[in-house]
Amino acid sequence: MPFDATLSTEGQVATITLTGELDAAAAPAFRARIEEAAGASPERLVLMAERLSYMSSAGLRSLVFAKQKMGQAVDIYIVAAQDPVIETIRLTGFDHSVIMQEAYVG
Amino acid sequence: MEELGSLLLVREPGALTGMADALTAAGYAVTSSLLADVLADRAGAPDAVVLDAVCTPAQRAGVIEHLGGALPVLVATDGDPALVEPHLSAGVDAVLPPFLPPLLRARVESARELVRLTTGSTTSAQAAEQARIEKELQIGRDIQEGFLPRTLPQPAGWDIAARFRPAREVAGDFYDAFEMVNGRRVGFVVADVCDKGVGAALFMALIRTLVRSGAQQNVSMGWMDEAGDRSGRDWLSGEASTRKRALPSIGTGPLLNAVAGASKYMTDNHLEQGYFATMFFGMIDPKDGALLYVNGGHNPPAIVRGDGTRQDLPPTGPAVGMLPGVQFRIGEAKLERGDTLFAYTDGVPEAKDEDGRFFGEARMYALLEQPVETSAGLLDRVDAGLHAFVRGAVPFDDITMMAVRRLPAGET
Repeated sequence: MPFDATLSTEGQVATITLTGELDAAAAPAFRARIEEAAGASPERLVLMAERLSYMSSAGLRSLVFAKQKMGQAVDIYIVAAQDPVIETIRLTGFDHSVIMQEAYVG
Repeated sequence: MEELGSLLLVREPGALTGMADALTAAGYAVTSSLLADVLADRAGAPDAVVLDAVCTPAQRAGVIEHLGGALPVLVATDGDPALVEPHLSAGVDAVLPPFLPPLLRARVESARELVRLTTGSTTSAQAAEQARIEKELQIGRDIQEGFLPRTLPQPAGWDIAARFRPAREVAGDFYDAFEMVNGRRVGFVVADVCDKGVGAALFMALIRTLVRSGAQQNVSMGWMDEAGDRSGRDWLSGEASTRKRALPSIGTGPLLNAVAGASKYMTDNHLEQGYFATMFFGMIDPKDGALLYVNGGHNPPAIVRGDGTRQDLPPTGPAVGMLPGVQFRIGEAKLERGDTLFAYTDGVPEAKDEDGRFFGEARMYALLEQPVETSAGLLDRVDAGLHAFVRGAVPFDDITMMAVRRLPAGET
């Protein structure tokens, strides 16, 4: 499935809904959304990952980039991620830097 | 008259009378259009265009652009000869009456030749640029190869082999193997810098150097106090029984120094670039097979036992350079005679076939669990399995593998 990332902002919460495979080829599109989201100076970034089937190390780098971009004060939520994506995040220890949830609880 | 190709004549109403006939007589398949209509026409690009010189140079450029660009063009007028001047000064040839077929033919053909020459030279300029980029990448690749070990240490009773196949000219993967603690230990590293291309390759060079240099320094454990870990025990993970050992084993200092030092350097200096590496750094005592390791967020290497069972070596810390202020622990395992440690990067399980399906860990493990004869043989087997799986699919990720085998009793 082709990668897609759509951004919606409501109040202080920026939500990016991810679809498909987040690999090196898709990472620039994801980063563009992160930049856009950061522009709104949200207090929280929520990544809806239910339909994200895969994330490579380049995709993970985008998440690390998001954390840098948003600053430590902005919490990043990764919601409803599939097992392979969770595995990639856990393996590298990045799960300690984000909030992983099965369903979004604000 | 022979057919010289299609020609579009664009003119104002009532102008250039006789031009269409003359061009036809010169050998062209002529279609006519009015200047007012040509931008609305959706006809394909002709081989050449003759434009009424009454149009402005900008209009002329617009018409050529509309027709697909880079077309041979002449302007012509049977009105005021001064009309052709702005076109001439823009480098476009012009014809004035009488419109004699042989003359028109010569002028149209010379305009075509000019386009052939100029577009041809553009292509060769692009080709030269492409060749230059490829040459630079080849230089990058050659330099990067210099960051890989030329030979692998082969301590008595051991068999070490590696495979490295970058998906592009330059890679983010690397492997390394070298003696530590004056030859009393052998260290080996398999690592994957996130992302691809030149950026990943530059960080590969940096991280490899930091790790190698950290591993080969003689360090005390004193710096660990600074890392906030004074318990003296947390550095050692694994079985509770093995954790009882109160004193660090030989080489634990350089091992931790290499990984934690590289990570700290990365987060102190390069955090904003967002690069990190997953890394497995193992250190064996060639005499008894004891293995100490740090797994920084890397795909768990597997120890394949002589009986075909498997022990995975999960992370003992996060990816190197990803997060500031992190701790790495040391994991412990042992390679008995006939055991083989297989380390790899995610390019192996994440190799895709033409339909986009992943090779996956299950296929990889199935290949590991068959009897192992030699390290190279095991890597060949996995390589062949990967080849058979991906078939014609373009490799997307770097693939790196290393096998460290402790020879069975009796083999040397």
